[in-house]
Amino acid sequence: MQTGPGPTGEATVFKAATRCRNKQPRHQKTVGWKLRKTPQDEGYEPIPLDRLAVGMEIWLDCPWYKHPFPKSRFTLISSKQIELVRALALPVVYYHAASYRSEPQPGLDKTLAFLDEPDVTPFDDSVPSSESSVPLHDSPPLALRRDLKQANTTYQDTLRKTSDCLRQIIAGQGAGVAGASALVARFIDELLNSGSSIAMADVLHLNVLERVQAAHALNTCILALLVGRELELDPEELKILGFAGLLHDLGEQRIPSQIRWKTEPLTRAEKSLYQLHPLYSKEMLQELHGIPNGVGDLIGQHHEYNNGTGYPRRLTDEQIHPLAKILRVIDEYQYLTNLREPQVKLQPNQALAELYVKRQQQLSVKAIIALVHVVSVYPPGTLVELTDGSIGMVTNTSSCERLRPMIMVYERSDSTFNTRLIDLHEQRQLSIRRIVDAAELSPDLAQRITPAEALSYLMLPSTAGALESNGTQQSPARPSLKG
Amino acid sequence: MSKRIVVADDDPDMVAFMTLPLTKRGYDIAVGGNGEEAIDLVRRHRPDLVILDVCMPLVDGLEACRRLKDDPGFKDIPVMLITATASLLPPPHILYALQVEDYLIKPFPVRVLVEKIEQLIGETNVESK
Repeated sequence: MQTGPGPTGEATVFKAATRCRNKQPRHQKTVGWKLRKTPQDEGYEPIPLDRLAVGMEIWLDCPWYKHPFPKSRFTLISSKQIELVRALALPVVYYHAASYRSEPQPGLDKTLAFLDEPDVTPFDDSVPSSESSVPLHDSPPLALRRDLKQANTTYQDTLRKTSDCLRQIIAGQGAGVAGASALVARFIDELLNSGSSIAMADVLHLNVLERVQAAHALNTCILALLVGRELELDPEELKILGFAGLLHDLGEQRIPSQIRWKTEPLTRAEKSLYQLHPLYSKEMLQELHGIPNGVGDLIGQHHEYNNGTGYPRRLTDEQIHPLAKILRVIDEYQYLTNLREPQVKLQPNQALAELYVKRQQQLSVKAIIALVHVVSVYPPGTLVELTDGSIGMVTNTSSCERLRPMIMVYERSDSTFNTRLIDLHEQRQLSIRRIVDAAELSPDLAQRITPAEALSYLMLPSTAGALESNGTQQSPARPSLKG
Repeated sequence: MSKRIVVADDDPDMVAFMTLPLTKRGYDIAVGGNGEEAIDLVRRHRPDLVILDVCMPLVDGLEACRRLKDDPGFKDIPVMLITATASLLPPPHILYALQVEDYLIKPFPVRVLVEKIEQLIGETNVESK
């Protein structure tokens, strides 16, 4: 915030400070952030300044404005940074003993040598590009690659099952309901018993229409359940929400394909007919046995907005079921990130901002905040630039280390691009420098890197467990739907 | 001149529920009890909008809508169908062929009725202000 000198500026500062003080308790109540922890709470130990070394994760226990680094907790990556830390003359500096290996790390000094160049300071963005620098990242550990391969196989298998269920339900076959029930039960079991994180499965070649629809159903189900868990719903509510996520767009199958896949703007009559699809979804479920009570009503309301501008009934806030509001937020998020026109399609982080900033009149703010918690600071699918200049896409995120997701990095090799998976949780010397707009990418890279059809999500219990056991960052407490 | 609306519904309570607020807003309303009467009213008054309940005796709302949309003289008059559930509507491809402009799902508040009418035939009736 900029303030001018004199009374006006002081008044502005005072007002801002008052606003902050007033807001803080509400924020704490809503989001549930814990009080600041000490370095010792987090496993950091004091270390003499002359024993600082490259590779150590340190904690400067002083206000942020008293040191020149972007964060107070970071990994030392150059001898110049060590000199800067020593120059601060702090009474004590802490380091994370558990994560530091005292033996020399082969190649680290060499690969990081460019950071000691005179023109590179802690705030300097002019880190050499990927073409001119030595890559900082090695091949991902075998276990990680195996996990991701397994995740992709699992996703494809789950997608096939989802597609089969939907086809059977559309045909009025009870087996589809049993299949959907098994899927939802499995997801809830994984959610409640393993603290899952989410990953984005590789769907670059997901170009079969039916599978795109199944992917949307599966994604909605997974994200809705994750948001439901954030909001501390009970298992029965999660079951209804999961079912509704999976089956919410069944009725679209009855809408003529000329409308569903029309690229020009819809006419009034076409739009009105399309807006009946929640009713058709509800009606299709009424003909089937085994669907939990309440799922149909939820689905019938999944396009209603709090301000009465939704469809098909234009219900208002108090008339809309709370679970339908969650479904609306998830559906809206997926819509924004999967728009057919690339020039208006939003990146996941942009979609979150759009929902939070511009759609609060229409949507449940609690559900939006819970979604932000779930998909994290860098949601899967976000394009990012790393501190070594390389470009990649976030593929996996965890609630324990929101700033250090897994990245699929794309490196140019002749006329094509090689991909490389990096786990920023492990590669502490690298971090995300900024989010990249898709328009900044070269056309060939843009075509390679942006998902062609849909962002698809998958819960990854095993990775989440691993991250939780090693995580250094506290997960904020979950916001509650109640109160 | 007031905007004219033909409303056809066999339920007197429903007719009263719709026509009272619309008359109050300055719309000129003609009421029929079935589809046949609605078509006669359209021929006589050439309204700006036709609102048809789907379930009516003799000639139902869908048949009345089909006849109007088949008539070159009336096919451009917007039609709004009223239904309680999707199951009372014909398959969507038939609705698509009929080019029904809008739908009202019972029960609905007056607010929704008025908003949809304003969207279909222009802004709030000027004469009512």
